[in-house]
Amino acid sequence: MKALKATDLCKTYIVNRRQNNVLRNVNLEIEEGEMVGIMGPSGSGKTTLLYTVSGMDTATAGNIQFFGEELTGLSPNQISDIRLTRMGFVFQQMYMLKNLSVYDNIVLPAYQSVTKKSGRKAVNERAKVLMAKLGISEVADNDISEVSGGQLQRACIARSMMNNPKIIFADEPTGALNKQSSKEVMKELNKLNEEGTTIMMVTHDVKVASRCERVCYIEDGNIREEIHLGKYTADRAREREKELNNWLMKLGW
Amino acid sequence: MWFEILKKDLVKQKGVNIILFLFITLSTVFLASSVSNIRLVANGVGNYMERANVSDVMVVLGSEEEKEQFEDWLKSRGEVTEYAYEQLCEVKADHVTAGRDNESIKAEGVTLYLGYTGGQYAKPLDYEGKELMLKEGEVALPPGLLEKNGLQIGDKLQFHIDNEIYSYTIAAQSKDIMYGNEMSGMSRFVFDKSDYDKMTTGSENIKIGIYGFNTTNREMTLDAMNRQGFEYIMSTFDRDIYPLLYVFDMIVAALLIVIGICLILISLMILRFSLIFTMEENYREIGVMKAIGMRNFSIRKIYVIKYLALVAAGALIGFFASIPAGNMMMESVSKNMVLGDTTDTLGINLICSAAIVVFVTGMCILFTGKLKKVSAIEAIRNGGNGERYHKRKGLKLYNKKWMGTVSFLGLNDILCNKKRYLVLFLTFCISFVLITVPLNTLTTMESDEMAAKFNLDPKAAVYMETIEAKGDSPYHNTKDLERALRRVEREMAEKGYEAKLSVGALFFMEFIVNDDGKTVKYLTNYPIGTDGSYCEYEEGEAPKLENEVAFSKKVMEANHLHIGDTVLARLGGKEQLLMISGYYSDYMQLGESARLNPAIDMSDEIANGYWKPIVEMETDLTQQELSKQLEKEFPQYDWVTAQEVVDANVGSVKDTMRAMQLPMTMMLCILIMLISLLMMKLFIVREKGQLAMLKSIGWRNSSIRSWLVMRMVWVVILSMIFAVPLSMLCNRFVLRTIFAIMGAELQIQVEPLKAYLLYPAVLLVGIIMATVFATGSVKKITTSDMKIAE
Repeated sequence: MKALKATDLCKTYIVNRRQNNVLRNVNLEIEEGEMVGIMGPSGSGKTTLLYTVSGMDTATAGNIQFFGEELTGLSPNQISDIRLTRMGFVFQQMYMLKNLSVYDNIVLPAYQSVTKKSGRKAVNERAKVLMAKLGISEVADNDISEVSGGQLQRACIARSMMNNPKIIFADEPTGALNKQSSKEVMKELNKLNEEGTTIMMVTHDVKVASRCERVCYIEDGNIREEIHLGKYTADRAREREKELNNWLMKLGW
Repeated sequence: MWFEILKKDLVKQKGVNIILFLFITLSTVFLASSVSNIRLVANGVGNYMERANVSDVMVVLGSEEEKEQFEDWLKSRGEVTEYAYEQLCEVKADHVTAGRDNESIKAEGVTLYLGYTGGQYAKPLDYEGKELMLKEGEVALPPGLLEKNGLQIGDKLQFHIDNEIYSYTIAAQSKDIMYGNEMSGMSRFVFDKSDYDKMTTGSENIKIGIYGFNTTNREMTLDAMNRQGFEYIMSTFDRDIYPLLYVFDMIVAALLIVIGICLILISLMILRFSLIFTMEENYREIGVMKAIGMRNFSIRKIYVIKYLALVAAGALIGFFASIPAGNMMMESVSKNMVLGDTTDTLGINLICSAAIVVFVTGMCILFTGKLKKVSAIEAIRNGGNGERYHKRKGLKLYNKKWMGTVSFLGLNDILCNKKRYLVLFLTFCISFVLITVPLNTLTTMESDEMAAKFNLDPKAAVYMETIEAKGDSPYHNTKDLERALRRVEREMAEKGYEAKLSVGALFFMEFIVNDDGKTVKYLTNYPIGTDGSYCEYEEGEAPKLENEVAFSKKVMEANHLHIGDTVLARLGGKEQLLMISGYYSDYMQLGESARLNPAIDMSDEIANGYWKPIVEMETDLTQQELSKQLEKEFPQYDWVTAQEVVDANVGSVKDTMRAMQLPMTMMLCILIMLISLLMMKLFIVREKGQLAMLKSIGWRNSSIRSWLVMRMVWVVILSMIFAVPLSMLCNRFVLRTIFAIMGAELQIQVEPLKAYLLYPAVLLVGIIMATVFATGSVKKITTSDMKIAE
């Protein structure tokens, strides 16, 4: 089943009476369980594409289907509910509420989505499992300023996973991390994908992108080409990176 | 470039700048008008006394029989530098009619007199505070009488004196320092002298003589006068009594000043908060400017110029607005008093406006001074120095299972940023307390305790204004009064009302209070038809035996008396030794009075009057219902409630306060709505990034707005919790003190539902409305705003 289908997607900004077509008739399909990377030069429309297909931003034209359900035309509240319960988000900056502990930040979206107070018990159990899985149990009660960038990003991943999302949208998830932390974060995302979660990720990093099953190259608001690398396996990591690099160089990267 | 940055800042923070501008304007209005009013009111009574030419002592003689004797005594006193005599003629309220229907005017317990212009002391003044001048055929009335009867300048009044009817046109509203204030229990119609003579010469109406005199030794003269034993002295007023007569007017003025000061405090707090908040908001830009090599002075200049422009414009408008605002605030006070020329205080208004400019600019310079100490990178880090580890102050969400997410977030934000919310907390606290002040004052004025302090039995079925039937001559003898009580009882019984009546006859009795022969004269209540047990005593008990007396606390303190002490009372020609059985505090004669036992024989004494006759009977009706019913059954008498008696004695202050209550609640509501709006806008600007993040992970606008509203609700709840004891303290130390000045200590009465629930709920609704409005901008926040997350 198609997790995401964007048809003739356009996004236009008008700044100082000048029209800026950021997305131009983009067509993109992502299968359920797939991990897709979006690459491209700065200003090509990568992040806008991610924000538009995830309903964070509205499309100027075109259609978006999320697991067969039309997103365009839904009310802002309906889209918010979908984002809260069926989508997960990981950003480059580890955006969290600064007045809350790491644990509270993780459970926040899940608490918000459960209507009954009794549902919080299940949420807490899931949070503990996820934190243990991501190796951040020991910083649960810490303030967000007291943990490292890698731990914080893993906390963001945990938050995005709290409502069992069908898809995770990741915008430069390793952009603000060092090499070791990047590796840890990507390992977790690959693990989630292996467990069946669809992932759409925007990145500049070839090493990170090479962990995706498919990489789309976007230029001037349109997907120019794409490459299928197959499911990620650690033993073929170097070859996948090389293959992707060659492909990108051909595209003028 | 500076202009560009400034322009961008003004546009970017348009909402915040407008509110800041409004606050600067409001602060100027309140500061300037309140300070100038403080000066006006502080000098008010003194100024009024000077203009009216008040004598050191004023003596009221109940009869002209002793006139010559008193004048001879005055002449014999070397310390008396000058004196003057004036006459007043008593007139009953039902002998003065107005309007087409010739309806009698309402005096509501005040004794009415006819008087004239041209007297030397306690002169009646016109509305402008100049000496009142009237032509023949004209009459002037104090504002209380005009208002009570719905009279206006130009209306006609008819005076029915000795079968003659005299018609006069109301030409002016008089400001009568002694007789224009209901606290004195006297009110006077002022005429031209020839009109007065025409009406009163040869009239059978009671005439009282007023001697005003100045003396170089007031105490000595008064002591000598008391020792002289003039029989017809009804009362003596020295200069010190006048400020007390206007104490209720001062309550209104004092309340306005308290409100003004609180508003100034609120405005300054908000101003400081907004300044610091907007500066902090710009920290990153400041850091960038520093990083690219701009000098500290150049950076500071941008902000100082911005606030200087804002404050200068606000203060200028505030200055001009403070003049009519001050006049408006003083309107109710100036109705009864001559407060002096408001143009005299223009300089104060100007100084206050300039002070606001200096203060705000100074604050701005002070705060921007910190920029010198902050490095470019620290500024870019929003004032942080890179140290990431600090202890968390908030709550833990997973521990608060009983709390909704938005409620938790709201409370947690407050606990994490206590300083930030302190201003709001204090503002709401002050507002809640302010709102309870007039409310509690009114509740107290309408309470049973207040009635008891006016020597009334709140449990009585009803009261009579006078025991005489309309048109009858007043009784001045205890036997007549007793007969009258029985007569009314009989009349009532004939119509099925089994009532028991009692009354307190009032005498101005002389007491020798110490071995040196110190003689004092006090209004003394002699109970007829009752043992006076309904009266409350602070210590001891009501005088019951023939040789017992009780004094007010003020009298006891002034004369160093104690329970068990004896005093010598002069009753007519005789002297009788009386033992003090107890003391009390009430508002009779401004807290200086005596209560006599019912056993003593006073039948030969001439009473100076009597207090409201009390009607006791079995009834399920309220005093108001019963008085209306009796009014129909016995139209020859005036039936009143305890509240009406209190109202007549506290004057128009209660009405003024009641009239003030709604506009004040509205003003406070608007003010705190503006504050909430400003704060919320500032919070949203600061937290845009976090809000954008929540939106991106699927929080609905409504949930985010609920979170922000919940913060305010929590602050309101916390403020209300703190405001309750604060309000009680205010009752104890402010309101109680004000009431005590009038003569008696009084427990301030509170209607908890109104004071602590209904009114705060009104403010809460206002705050929620303002916050909901301010959070409307959440809708405009997009995911791209995440970039400005802190």
